[in-house]
Amino acid sequence: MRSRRADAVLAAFAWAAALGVTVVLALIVFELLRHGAGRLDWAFLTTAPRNAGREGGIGPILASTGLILAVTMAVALPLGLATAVFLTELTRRGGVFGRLVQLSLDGLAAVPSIVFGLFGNAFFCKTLGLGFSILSGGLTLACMVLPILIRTTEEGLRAVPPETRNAASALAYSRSATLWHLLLPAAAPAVIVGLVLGLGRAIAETAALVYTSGYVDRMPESLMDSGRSLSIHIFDLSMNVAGGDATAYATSLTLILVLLTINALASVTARRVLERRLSV
Amino acid sequence: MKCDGGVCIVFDVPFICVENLSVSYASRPALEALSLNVPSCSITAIIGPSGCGKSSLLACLNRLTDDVPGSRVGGRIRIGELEVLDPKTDVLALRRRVGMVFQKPTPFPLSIWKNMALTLAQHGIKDRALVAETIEGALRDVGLWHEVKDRLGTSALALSGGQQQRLCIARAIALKPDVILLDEPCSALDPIASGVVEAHIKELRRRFTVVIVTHNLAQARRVSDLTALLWTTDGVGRLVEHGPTAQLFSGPRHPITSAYLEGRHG
Repeated sequence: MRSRRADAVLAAFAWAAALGVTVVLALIVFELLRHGAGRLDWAFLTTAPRNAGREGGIGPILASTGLILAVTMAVALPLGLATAVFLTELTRRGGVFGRLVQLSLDGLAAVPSIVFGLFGNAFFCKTLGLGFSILSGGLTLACMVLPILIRTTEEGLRAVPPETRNAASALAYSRSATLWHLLLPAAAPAVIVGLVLGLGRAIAETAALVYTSGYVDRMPESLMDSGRSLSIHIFDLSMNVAGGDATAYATSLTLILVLLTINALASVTARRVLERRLSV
Repeated sequence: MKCDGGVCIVFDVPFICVENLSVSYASRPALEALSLNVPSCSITAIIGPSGCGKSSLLACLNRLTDDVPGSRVGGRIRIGELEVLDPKTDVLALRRRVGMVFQKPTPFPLSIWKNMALTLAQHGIKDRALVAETIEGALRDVGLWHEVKDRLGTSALALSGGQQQRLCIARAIALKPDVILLDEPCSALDPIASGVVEAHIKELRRRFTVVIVTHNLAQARRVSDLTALLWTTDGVGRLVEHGPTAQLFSGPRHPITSAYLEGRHG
């Protein structure tokens, strides 16, 4: 009898917890819709902000955000894949250099984003002379996203059964062919998960970007221009601009929509990858 | 020598010569002083209890031991005129000549067609007509063509275990190797699928030199021309007896062999 009651309590608790989580998300979305939906239209997404963002739209901010993320991914994806391949395929598990790389990745993952911001400012903006620019911001975020991307890719590659490697080896596949045709496609879903997680972290970032990409809200003309990201815009509107709340909510809503779009695109891509591998 | 078509077993002309082979993993010896001749276009069964070095012997023949960290191989192996263990030997060229099929079917997570075509492409066979012809031929050789010809674009993982194993054999023979190594190819299959695979293994002898590791004595007796028994003594695998299968099974010379065949050992 006692164990049955314990089961009931456990089940009730689990239900309540799950319900609580759902309610929190629903509340956030509800609040965003209530305050922001009124302002969200095509003009808002395409026009420039006016009057410090109280009026007008977020066109240049969307463009800057897109460019920053593009730089981040263009740098993080090849570096991340190469490092994961190095860790799984080229070093033995437990080797000294492999362990060193793993250790620095763990360290990197634990660094607070404000520290990335200061580092980015010192290294990319000043030492490399890139100044407050989309390029500096993108590179800083790339450093932040790398550990996530490498870890998920590594997991994906390690999950490929050893039989696949043996069979490829016995059929005289070269190492690079095995990697390119068999291992990386098998790890692709994991890579995509890593990308989504990384993009999620990058798009949410304010602290690392304030010092690197800056907060100029004009339409960027090149990667060397300063550009304001969506989250910095939200921060600025709600903290520094009296009467900017409505735009802040609408911008937050946009940010959530962008994230959902990235998620949807990622799962479509993952399915495409799987289908393409089966075609004749 | 290579055979075309007809069965021609020339027992005194070895195609694979293993001389004084020794294998160790992380300084722990697994196989010692093993010498064995395998004639061309025959089936040689390697039998023996678990851990006696059967699979290690196979792995030396296509240098899959290279992939095992800490492994050391000594002695000499010739396949035809090729010095297998010579560090200068091109391993990829060797593995093209010496195909291998594993205990667990290992189709790649690709379509049936791509499993074959990708492998052929690895070896520079990309001409569409030739690829199609080779794939059909190899799949016919293992009796799989009429079972899969309408769904070549579907996942190889959706095939049954026996079909997967035959696909793996087809994938190996599509490269037209001289030697096929089979590492307990039927032990993960049900008896019916196992029977089908076995029937096709017998056919392979017409064109390839086959070395098969098996736990199944009845299977060794049914399919092989020659049988070699490996045994662990003092913690190291050694060759106990080697000879024509019929002779070895009817009149074993070594007491370990007779005990093992009668099921008193191993």
